[in-house]
Amino acid sequence: MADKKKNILVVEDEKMTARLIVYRLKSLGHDVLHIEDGVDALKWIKENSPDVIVLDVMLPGMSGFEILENLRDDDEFDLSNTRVLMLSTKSRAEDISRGFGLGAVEYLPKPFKMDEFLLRLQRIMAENEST
Amino acid sequence: MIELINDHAFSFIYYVLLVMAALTLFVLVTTVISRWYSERRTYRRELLEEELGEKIVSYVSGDLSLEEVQNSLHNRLDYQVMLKLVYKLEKSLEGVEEKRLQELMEVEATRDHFLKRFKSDDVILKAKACLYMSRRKSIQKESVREMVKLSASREPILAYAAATAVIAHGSMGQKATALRSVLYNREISRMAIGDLFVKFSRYGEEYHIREMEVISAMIEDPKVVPERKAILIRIFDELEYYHSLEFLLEYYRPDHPPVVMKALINLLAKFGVEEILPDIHQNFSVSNDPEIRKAAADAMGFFKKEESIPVLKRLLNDADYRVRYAAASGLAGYDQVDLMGLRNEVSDPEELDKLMGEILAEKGWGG
Amino acid sequence: MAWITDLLIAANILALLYFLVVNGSYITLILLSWLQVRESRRQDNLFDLSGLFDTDLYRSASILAPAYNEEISIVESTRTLLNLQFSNYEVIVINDGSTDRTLDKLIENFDLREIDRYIPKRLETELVRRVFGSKKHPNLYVIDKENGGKADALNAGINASRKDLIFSVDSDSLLEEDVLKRMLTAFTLDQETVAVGGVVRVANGCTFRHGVVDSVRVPDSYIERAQAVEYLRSFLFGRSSWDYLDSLLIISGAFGVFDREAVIRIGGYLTDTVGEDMELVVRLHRYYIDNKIPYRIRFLPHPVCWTEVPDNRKTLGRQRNRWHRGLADTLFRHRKMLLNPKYGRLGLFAMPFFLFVELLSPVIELAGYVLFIVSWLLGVINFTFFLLFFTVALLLGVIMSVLSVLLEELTMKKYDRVRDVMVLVLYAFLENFGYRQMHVWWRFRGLIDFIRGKKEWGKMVRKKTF
Repeated sequence: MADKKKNILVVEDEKMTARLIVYRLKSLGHDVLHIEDGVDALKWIKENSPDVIVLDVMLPGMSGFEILENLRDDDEFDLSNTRVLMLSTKSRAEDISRGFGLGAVEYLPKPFKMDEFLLRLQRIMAENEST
Repeated sequence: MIELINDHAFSFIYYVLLVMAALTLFVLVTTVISRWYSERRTYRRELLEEELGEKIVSYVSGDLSLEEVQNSLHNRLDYQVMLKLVYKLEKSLEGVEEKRLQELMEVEATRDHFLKRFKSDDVILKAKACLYMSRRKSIQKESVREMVKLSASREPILAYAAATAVIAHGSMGQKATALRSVLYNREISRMAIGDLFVKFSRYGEEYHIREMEVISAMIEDPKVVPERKAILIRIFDELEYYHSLEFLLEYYRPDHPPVVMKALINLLAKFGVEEILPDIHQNFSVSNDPEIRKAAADAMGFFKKEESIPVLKRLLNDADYRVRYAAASGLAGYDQVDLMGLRNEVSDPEELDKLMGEILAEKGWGG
Repeated sequence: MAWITDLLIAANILALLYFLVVNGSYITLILLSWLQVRESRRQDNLFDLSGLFDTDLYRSASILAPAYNEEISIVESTRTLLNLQFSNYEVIVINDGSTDRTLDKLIENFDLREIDRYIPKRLETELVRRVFGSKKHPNLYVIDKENGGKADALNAGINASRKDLIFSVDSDSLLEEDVLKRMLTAFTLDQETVAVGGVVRVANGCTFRHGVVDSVRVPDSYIERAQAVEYLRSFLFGRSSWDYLDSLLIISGAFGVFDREAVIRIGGYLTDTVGEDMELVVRLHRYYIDNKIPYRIRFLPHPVCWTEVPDNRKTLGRQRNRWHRGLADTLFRHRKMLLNPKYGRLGLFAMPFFLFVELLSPVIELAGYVLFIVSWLLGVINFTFFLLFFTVALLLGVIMSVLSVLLEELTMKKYDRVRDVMVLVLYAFLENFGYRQMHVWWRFRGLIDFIRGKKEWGKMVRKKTF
């Protein structure tokens, strides 16, 4: 069931990386949207509840951590239907544990291998399916 | 003179006004032209970034061949934009994708472009060319030798960039020469040095035996200043070169300069070498250098030996706050020490409360 | 009576010469800055390529944000500070005994709670009452202390800092997100760098979105526009040229990064001066030269901080009065460096320039105005000469400002529209009628106040741009 079409949001401010991710995910048949700015991303997430979010940490306007905090503190929003994969150059242990603490299910440090990224994404989408 | 000015004042004013008018006109025209030019260029760049970006993305994903990308590159701007996009993407990628990107950098025209720069006298252009070289898959032996020479340049940027390229492509001997030149250059910052050694290690073999030997030789090199030796010792720690222990034990002598000593104590404690404890108790904990006393306190906190407790208690009253902090932090790790009781041992119990509060909170026991 | 005429003629010629020398050197400085800005851009470019910023080996920084009665803006400004692009930094907000709800606002919005954090008293400060940490933002700390002024608050922040570098910011300023990265290039470029300043630009008229500058426009009023031109001239190109000459004496209080140990070694900020930012930099120079330690103090033209400038004469007048008192105070405290060959180009060129050109120019310019009127009334010079003097003065002033606008357009191109650049060119003229004279007057009053021993800051009233 893992290849079922998903609604994926990519929040990433480095254009080329974002384009590559979007390209690969689209070619797998998913619905993909890319947003660069943290504040805009948060707004969009609250309105559209995507299945999966690929989230960078350092973003203009609002950091990836803050987006997660905001979603967690928002009573009207239910994060449990959304899977978050964090993708960041911030790869110190405290950053990673902060990401998991805020509800991310995967944390991939940059630089990353595309195959590994897609593999982990498949996996969390499959988990999403089973819950 | 006054008469002269008085007589010709009106013509002076006339000229002055003329100059001002000309100046304004000049600025206006320059502004409009430079804006127009730069906007056109930005527009063309953006268009190109869009187009080439698409191609690079599908090339990296394996949907487009190298030739197809090459065919769309025609002029200098094309190459510049392509390289910029490749560099950006390369920073976030590893593995197959990174390799494909590197192949893109091997395109002939790009290589020529940088070779020309490499021959220029401009430091920054040269440095850019070196950085480009460092990212290529392989470069000619001749060029590597050239880079080794450049790594001894007085210009920190150029020396750094050249050393990066040598580390990527040189033989172990060449790498060692380049790194030594960089170490001798006082102007190169410790961030740049750290970065070079991380790269050195990344390009190395699995167990870094020879890398370790190269660094060890540098630590023993009398021409390397103590500050830099300390950096090298810390690099053993950061890169987790556990097999450097043997060398370190041999190198260890209590009479090294304080900066080196401090780095040594830190690392040996981390490696669990209890043999240094007597020196810590007798020499380092009473050293004149607060940094050494701090390193001693940290080490005692690390080993958690019963016999260190009185020494640590004494250091709670040290003149330097960093030592007091390290001593309190160390004592907090001993199960057999009554932390409340320590208040009677210090001259400023309130400060100790603050210290302990923070230390315990950080260890996750407090509030 | 003949001797009076002779004297007046001599004085007139002297005044004219002073004018030519001063303006000539300004124009030279601005041209020098062009070289510097271009070079620095090329270096920046190189840094982007090198990947040096992508490692964690970088030096860490504490951002120190003193706050005194800032309840309107504190939450927003703190939030922007928490979102800078840099891997290892902490933000320390120092509540300097505010009497409004500054602290409450911080506690509510950032989920603060009191924590134990040991603050060594390496610099003497007023009593620190409490330290707060945030669960939401592990790198945010708030220090609540008794009121002691901005310099005292900064010193408390320095004591509390656990990082290599300290970065002082003003609450009425907004930093661009990449500033820390950019400022640190100077430290990475040269091992001996101890302090770095960046550009302060006028935020009035610009629009901001989520704490990021969205569009760059010129402000609306005469007084703000004149300042926009002035900031380009003196803060961007003036300071770049001092950097080119390796003799930078000022780093704006709103925007400077310092090596923490270096600042502590020289005793921190002085609390009994109104010009603590300039004083600190001059003292650093002095310390390093006295002790014969190699060092660098840099200015970088690319990191940008947007600041809200006063939009009315009263506030602006107070600000300039204070700046001038600060300048006078710093030069007076360090008068030993003046014309002292031991201090090299600082003592022989930069300090005399600041004394004779920056500090005394209002006196000389005012004296010039009076002199000319008297000479004209006495018939020593005729009206055309009088007119001539003013056109020449105007010309030189215009050249300086127009050059700055031109350089901005050739190098930075921050302003979005050509229209705005035109407005700036226009104001390069207009600032000479009114703004310049007011400026002379404020600075003159500042000098008088300094001589009388006035120490207050003068109240600043903020409007809200961000």
